[in-house]
Amino acid sequence: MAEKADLILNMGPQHPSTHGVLRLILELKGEKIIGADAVIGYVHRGVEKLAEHRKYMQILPVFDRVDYVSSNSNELGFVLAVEKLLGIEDKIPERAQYLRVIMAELTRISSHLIWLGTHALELGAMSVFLYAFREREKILDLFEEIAGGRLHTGYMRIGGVAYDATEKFLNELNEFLEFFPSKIDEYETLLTENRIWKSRTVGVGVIDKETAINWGITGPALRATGCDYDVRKYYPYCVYDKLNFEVPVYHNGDVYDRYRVRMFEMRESVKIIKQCLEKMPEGPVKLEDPTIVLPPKEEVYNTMVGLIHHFELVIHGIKPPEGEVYAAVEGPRGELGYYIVSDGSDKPYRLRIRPPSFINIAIMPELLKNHYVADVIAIVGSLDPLMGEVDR
Amino acid sequence: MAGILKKATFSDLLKRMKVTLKTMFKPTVTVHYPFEKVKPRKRFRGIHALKLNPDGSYRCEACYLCATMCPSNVIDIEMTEGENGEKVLLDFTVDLTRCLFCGLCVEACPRDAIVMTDIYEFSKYSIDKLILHKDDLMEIGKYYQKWERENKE
Ligand code: SF4
Ligand code: SF4
Repeated sequence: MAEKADLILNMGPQHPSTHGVLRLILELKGEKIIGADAVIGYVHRGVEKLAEHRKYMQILPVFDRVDYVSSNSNELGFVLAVEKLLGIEDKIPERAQYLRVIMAELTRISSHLIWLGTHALELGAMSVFLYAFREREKILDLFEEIAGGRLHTGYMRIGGVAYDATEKFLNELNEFLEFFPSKIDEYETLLTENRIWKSRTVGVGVIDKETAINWGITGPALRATGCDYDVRKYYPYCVYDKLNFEVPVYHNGDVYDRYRVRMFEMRESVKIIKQCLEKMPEGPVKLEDPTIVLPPKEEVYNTMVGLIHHFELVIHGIKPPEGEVYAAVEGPRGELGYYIVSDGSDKPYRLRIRPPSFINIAIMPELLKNHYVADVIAIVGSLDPLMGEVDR
Repeated sequence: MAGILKKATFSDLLKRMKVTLKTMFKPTVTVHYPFEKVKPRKRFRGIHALKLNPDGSYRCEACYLCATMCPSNVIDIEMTEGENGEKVLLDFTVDLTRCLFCGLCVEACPRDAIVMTDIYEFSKYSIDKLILHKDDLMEIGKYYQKWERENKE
């Protein structure tokens, strides 16, 4: 390093604005950052290794906890990968596909709301935090109604979803979709044209398109730079190819544009869910295949065949053929991919997650250079890293 | 020009003040937790319970499926052979300190014996009280079966 730092500042791992346990070592020259280093690994739980010791069915609850504010997207990515491995991705009942999309989009909204609340709080807008969490609570109630869990929903299953939607869920969801867009307007009134907000965010932490692609950045951070890559459009999964929605793209690549992309995405998610509710057919929500999906409870209680299938599947697990697959979904933070190597047994031989936050924050040491200390919070917040996912 | 006017009159600021002021006079959405409680939904996954047959015996047949399915090794079952060669449950432990509350054990049970209740307040002063045994699970099971009868559709 040519320049010598005046002061080395240790930010985190317990700093409230680093979104978890991220530690940043900042080399300061006055107020300016001339070098930065990110230290990660404080919540490493070895999720990939854990997965190697669990049957395919048992892995789901573990992956709920990788990115703990968007558990449905995590589960969806994993079940899509296993279904691809089993070669049943076309046989999943349509109702289950729509329910999956609804849950994934609700997750996107709730995750963006957490991001919006905390990011605004860090930059000094306290009320937005309270408002965002007020609406998020409604989504968590919806999750509790349909899946039984609020944060770790455990809703997806290999071959479908766990339960059908209840009447109450659909009614509440409709209500939520009615009033939520007006709430987004409310947040936007508070922030979008706010001159303090703008002076903290416009032109800060600029990433250009070339750099973003070279660093493998995905998700809102990439779409703020002018690139329209979205897994939902480029490699449609579930029923996204039947739905009509826009992918927001902005061109400045700064903190402000990343904020605008996420606000736009929330509106699009509302549209997607509305279309899903219109198009969702009646029917089963699980595949009927006793080697992959547990038989319904009535069959298990009352028939011998059902009981035998049930025992077989619980004890021996799902056995996909040998092979390798990669399946990705567009999580709230970017492309969330699962790579599974199977050796034909009931457990994956190797499983690798492509965590969007981990790859997105890799650029941080470069990005923070020549910014002021106060901007660190804005930049880290705008990349929206989730440390559970970074460290896995 | 319009920009300068906006800056000078603080009209944009007033617009934002309107939002916060309006919210101020709306009823609060916060629940004062220990005094008020939100009722969990029907599918909520709280702590476990073991259901009983009408004659008071355990419905569980010690088939070990729940223990096999559990991703976190929470459930431990001890059983022995009874006088007539039937399986007899000696102990059934659920270690709540490890549990993920995923509900897979309930899904795996072929006898509807293990269930998850709506109880979410189970903090204890010592860890060993978080390990539930056969009798604790039976007590919770009685509560659950009462709840189940009351909440039948
Ligand atoms: S809820 Fe999940 S982690 Fe807990 S005992 Fe049942 S299967 Fe195991
Ligand atoms: S699966 Fe059900 S019947 Fe079998 S051991 Fe567990 S609780 Fe008992």
